[in-house]
Amino acid sequence: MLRQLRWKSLLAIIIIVGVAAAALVVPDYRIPGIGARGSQDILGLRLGLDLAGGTQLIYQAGVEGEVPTPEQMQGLVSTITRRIDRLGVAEPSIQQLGEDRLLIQLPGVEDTQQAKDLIGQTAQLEIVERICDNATCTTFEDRPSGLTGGDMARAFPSQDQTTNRPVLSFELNRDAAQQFAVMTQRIFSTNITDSPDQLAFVLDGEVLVSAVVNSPILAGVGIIQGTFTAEEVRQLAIQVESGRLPVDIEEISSSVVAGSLGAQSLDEALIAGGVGLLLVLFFMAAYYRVSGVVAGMALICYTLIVLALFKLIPVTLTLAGLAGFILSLGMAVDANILIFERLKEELQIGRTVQLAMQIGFNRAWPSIRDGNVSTILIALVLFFFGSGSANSAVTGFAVSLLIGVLTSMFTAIFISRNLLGIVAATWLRRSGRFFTPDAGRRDRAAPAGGGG
Amino acid sequence: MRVASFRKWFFGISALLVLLSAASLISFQLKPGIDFTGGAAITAIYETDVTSSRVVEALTRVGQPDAIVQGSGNNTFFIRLGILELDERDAAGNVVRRGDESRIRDALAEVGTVEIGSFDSVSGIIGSENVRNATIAVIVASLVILIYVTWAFRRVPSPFRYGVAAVVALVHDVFIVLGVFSVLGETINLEVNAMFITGVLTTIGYSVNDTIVVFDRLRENVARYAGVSTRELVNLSVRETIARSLNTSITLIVVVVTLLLFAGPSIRPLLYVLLAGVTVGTYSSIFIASLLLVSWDEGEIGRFWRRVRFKRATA
Repeated sequence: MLRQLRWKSLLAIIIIVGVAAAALVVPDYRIPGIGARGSQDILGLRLGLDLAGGTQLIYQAGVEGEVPTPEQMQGLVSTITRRIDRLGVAEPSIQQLGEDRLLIQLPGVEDTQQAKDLIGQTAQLEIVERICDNATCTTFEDRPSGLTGGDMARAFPSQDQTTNRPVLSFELNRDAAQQFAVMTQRIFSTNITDSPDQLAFVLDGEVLVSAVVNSPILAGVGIIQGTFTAEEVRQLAIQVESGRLPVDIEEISSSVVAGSLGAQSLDEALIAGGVGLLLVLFFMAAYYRVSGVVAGMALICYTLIVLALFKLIPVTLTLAGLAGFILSLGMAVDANILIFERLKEELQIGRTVQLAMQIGFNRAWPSIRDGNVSTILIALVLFFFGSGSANSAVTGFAVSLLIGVLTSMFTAIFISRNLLGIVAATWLRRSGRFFTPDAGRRDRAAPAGGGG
Repeated sequence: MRVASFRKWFFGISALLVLLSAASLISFQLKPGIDFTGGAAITAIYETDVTSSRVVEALTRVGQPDAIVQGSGNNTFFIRLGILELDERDAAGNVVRRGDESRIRDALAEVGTVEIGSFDSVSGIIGSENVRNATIAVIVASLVILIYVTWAFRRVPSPFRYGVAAVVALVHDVFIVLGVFSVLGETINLEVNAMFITGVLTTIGYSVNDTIVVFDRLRENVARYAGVSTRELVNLSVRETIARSLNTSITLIVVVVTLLLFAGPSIRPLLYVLLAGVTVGTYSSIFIASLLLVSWDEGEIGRFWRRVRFKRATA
């Protein structure tokens, strides 16, 4: 019965490790309902900018302690995203950080100057007259009206009062209203007599929205109708606003790593990881013999499972994260050591290998649990420290430490334990010497004056 | 092994180490890196033979006379600068005057064909924020550990003593690590950065992890041998657990040393902290944390404070 259970566990271990290995070997794939995983990098892992090379910038928005509104921040994110898209960077990432900061990550960009120049420009909204070029109005000739974002008072999403459809409302400053009235009057008249000319809002040279003029806008207050969804109108309002009221941004941190240096760091870390793993395997086998070999097998399973988790969650691997993972190789065997030392004690007082194993595991558990909880708590503190400081090295380290500790508890309890159980069911159980150098030495003295 | 009888020796050694660390911290202090002060750090890799003095000259020409340039062989230089001036822009956001970064890049390129391996620049705002966050993190971590250890040992008599002993050992470890770093800062210019704080916190976690192994055995022995003195129980528990304490640390130290030998300079502060921290942490969990419990149990701690107060009163 017991033996059957063991073989079932072995099957479970093989399946888990097999899935982990498969998840790593196939470079990239799509998991239904979850999304795409993997990359073109080593084992399909996602590499951070310090390993893959690239630029990371952090900007502070708002001037002198003035906190920008959430709408302004959204506008900023969308404006900068649009500009970065023009740079042609593969997979850029522009995120809001806290209330008033922007984190911009540009993989593969080493010429920061161009990126910074583009980001730092103030968004420029222009109102443009679009003259129809041909009969069907597929092409236009754009004519600047002289009106810019500075002439705009505000833009906001609203609803058409008769159709209830989402529309974009805007208001112009009083000074600009007159000029706008003349322009819309002119466009409106050509619309009746001739070709349907249009009016467009252009941000950074890109047409945000273009519309026919149904009636002249005389008081500087207008709406733009169309087949918009509420979300589209909201986005449009943000973009028009971001052109109207640029939020000042200032660079507060920038970091560029050349791809070649990143690749070198990655190589070095991989060598260190490989050598470290081998040394730990060697130490364990030399000191704990058969148990040590089992711990080594468990450690290899651990390595595969952690890397697979990195890929599946997915965790972006920075150099610090990789270092955290390699360090965790040294910590992952700790639980095994605690178990084996207990096993040794039980063998020394003359128990059979099988019984010693059972008792050893049970007695080692409280210290494994309590010790690992302290590391988990520290990893959580580190994570908040890192994310508070937007320090991807610290968060990367914390995440791999956390994943490492949790996985190591699993491998110690499930994988090492069952593998040892299987070994103990073979002929190796006949002598405790296979498991520890000094089995059978009954030197466990009772404490002096003990009442044991 | 009767460690408890020699506790005054171990306390003496630790007191000496802590005093030396304090002296070193006062005289050398820690060298804060750009994470904490703001500033810039550059790795410049030249294709041709270049001397560091030529790099310094070039940087001086663009207004960076205080640049610290360290060569690391293969014509690779680590350059450390103060806070850089940003590009100046007009109202429309167009650059009217180039800031330090582009001028420094140009200056470095004048010396020879160069690849800028990395260029990090941190503003003063971020620096002071990091200092604040790091301080909070260390305090929160210590409190969390005190509460956790007290809770984990809630079933033994006077669990608070276990918590305090673990935290004293932890503060002892952190202090000595800081001392070691002040020496390294003075001798090899090693700077304290955010990864250093990460290393300190990891040390805290590991030190407590180690202490718990010994305490766990003590907890078990307290339950098993009723009526035996704490001194004897500590002796027994340390003897029983010393092999696992050493072995768990050895495997970690092996990996740290491997990383130190192979991995690049950017994570070195982290690794030095871990090397010092794991070594001191193992020592303190065996010889300080558990022996403090003995001293506390035998009333020595109370006597010690009374003596200190008495001396102060008579001095």
